Amino acid sequence: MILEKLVLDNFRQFKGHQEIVFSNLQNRNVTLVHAENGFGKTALLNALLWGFYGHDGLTDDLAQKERIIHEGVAARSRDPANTSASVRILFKHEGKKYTLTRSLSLLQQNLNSRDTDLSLEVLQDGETFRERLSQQRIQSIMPDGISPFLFFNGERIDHLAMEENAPKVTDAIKQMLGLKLLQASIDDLSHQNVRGRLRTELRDCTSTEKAALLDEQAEVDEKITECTERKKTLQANLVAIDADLEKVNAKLEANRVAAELQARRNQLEKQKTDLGDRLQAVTKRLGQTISDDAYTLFADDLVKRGREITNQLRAENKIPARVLNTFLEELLQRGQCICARHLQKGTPEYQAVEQLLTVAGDQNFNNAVGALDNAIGVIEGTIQRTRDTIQEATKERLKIREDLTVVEEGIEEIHQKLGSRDDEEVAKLEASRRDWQLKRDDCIAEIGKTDAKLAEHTTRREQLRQDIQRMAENEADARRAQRRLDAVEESVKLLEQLLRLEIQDLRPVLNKEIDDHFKKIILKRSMWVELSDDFKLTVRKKISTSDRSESQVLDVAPSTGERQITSLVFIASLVSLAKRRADIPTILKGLSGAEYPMVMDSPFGQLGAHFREGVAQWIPSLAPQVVIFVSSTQYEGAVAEVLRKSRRIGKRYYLCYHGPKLAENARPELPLDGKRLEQYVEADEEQTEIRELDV
Amino acid sequence: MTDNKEAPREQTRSQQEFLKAAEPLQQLVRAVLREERDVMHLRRRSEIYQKILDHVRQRIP
Repeated sequence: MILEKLVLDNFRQFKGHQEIVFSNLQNRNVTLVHAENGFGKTALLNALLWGFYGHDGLTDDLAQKERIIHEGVAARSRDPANTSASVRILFKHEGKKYTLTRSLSLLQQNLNSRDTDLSLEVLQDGETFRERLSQQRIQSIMPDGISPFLFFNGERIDHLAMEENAPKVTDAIKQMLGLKLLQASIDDLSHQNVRGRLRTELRDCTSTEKAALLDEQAEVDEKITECTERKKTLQANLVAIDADLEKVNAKLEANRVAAELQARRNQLEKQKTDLGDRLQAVTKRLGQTISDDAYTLFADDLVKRGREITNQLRAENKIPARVLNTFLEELLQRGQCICARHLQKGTPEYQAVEQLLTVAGDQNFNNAVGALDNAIGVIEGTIQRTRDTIQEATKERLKIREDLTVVEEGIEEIHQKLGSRDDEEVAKLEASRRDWQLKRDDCIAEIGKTDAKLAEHTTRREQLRQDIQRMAENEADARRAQRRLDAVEESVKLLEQLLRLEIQDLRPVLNKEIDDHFKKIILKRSMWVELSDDFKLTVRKKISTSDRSESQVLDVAPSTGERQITSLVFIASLVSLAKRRADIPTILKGLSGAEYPMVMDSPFGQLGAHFREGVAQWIPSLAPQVVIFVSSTQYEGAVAEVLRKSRRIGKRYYLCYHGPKLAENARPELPLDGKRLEQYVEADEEQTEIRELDV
Repeated sequence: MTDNKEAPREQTRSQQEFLKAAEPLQQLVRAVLREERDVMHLRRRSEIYQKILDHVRQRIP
């Protein structure tokens, strides 16, 4: 999809008729909109989302979502049926041109603002057709699930790179890379209206005992659904708590009295995370060693005894066999020894050779002796290695634990110092930080509890399924109902496995893409971003160890800015893979490459100056079409210079705000290319004007 | 799901897994995916459940 034009009529503060024409040139693919905070950037982003998806598409940070029509226009209206707001979006998709119009009359807004009118016209081969199922068509062009990754506030996307957001990351992969089909099939097959109905059918024609099991299975299913929902809510809460915690941290960092201690605490928190990760890695390594090789430690006596026996047999010349029995048998059969003596039965020579057969062995015997020697050697080696690994890992764990205690004490000390400061603001912030921290701990504990419950119910569910399947049924109806239910269960399992494999196979492809994008912004070669096995976006770095011959890889606790970049890189990688989706092997037929625009509000918002330049250089190559909303403070300096030099800006606008009061930190004039443009007009009524600039 | 007309390409792990499943199961999964393709992005897709049930009944006699 390539956006052509956005036309607004009385949408929110955009009074009257206003429009933006987006740049559709491939090498000038950036449309830049300058706007101060409070001038209407969020409303503009929401105009696009409302156009595509109606009320459900509006972002959480848009206030009073039910008020779509410009307030002054609505207040003065004497004819609610003929007073309206509308958004028209012209776009191109797969060679066709579309015009989408969504409108809402004041009458509708007063009754139910969700009830909008939508029309979608498609122009193909010079003829215009009206799509009958407009919303369905829009969803098939750009499913609402992917819109948060294409239209977003840059200051709020850092959550994707937060550790607990692996579900959101996998969801993004599913949505953007066409795997939603597998997920929807799993959801619908597992739905009460399918699986539940088949279970009821089975229950109606089955024995009391089995019916009881089926009832229990239905209950367990409900509990699984509850736990899954609960987990989702908790994860969302955790993201919100982290954001609030981050805000308090930022305030403490900015506070003159607390700045130094807070900076030290940030370092310690980072160390704590690193140590926690290391502890987890060592514990995992220890667990793996114990599960793979610890049995050898219990076999130590047995192996020693085996070695003694073989040594003794070797000393007695019983192993390996020095003479092969096949050779002796051949001599006896031939009746002649190698020394040319005749070997006749009953003669002492014959008996002497026959006697040798008792100590002889065949080639297989000798091979087996060799293999036994080797096996004993391997087990002895494994015993030693296992013992060493367990000792080392245990020692390392103890050391990390000690270090963690020191770091935790340091953090506690800072808390005590800041909490007891006389400065009222600092004490208040510290108390608030403590509250959020406790809420965070609670939330994490609750997630752990929910996970345990979920695992318990899932195990019980599988057990019930097997028990039900095993119960013999005589009635043909019951058997058929059981077969159908089994088929649905098996289909769900198969689809879940397919989805897992598809996502796993996409991970290295995505990682390559992520790495390429990340290196364009962060030039530190020792640092990179990786999507881990469990789908966490992790920033890693290589550090030299003390002996300098080796290096160690550490997970970095990223700053807000680094998280924002990581999330941005992840989304850009998805957009880029979505475009070449048809070339990536998959089980799903007919997945074509899809082009998407990216519309970003404040992409430079939380970035330090050192990151802004890199992001500004890279942003035009983020997607085939890029729309950026940027405030004057975020734009000036390196960003302006880099974007100007890139010659990638194809269209440029600024928002001029009319209102009674200028927002805090907003400038009345826009300093641009040596000129100062008026961007604030004092007026009684609030409204925003879109003004075009020369490129 | 898998297209036999395409030039032979190395099978993905998911393709291999799918082909390991019993034929009736493969058919059922294919039918469900076909039904879902048009409606998967819709929030309300009440008709899909009946369609899936019909496929199950038809394929698992």
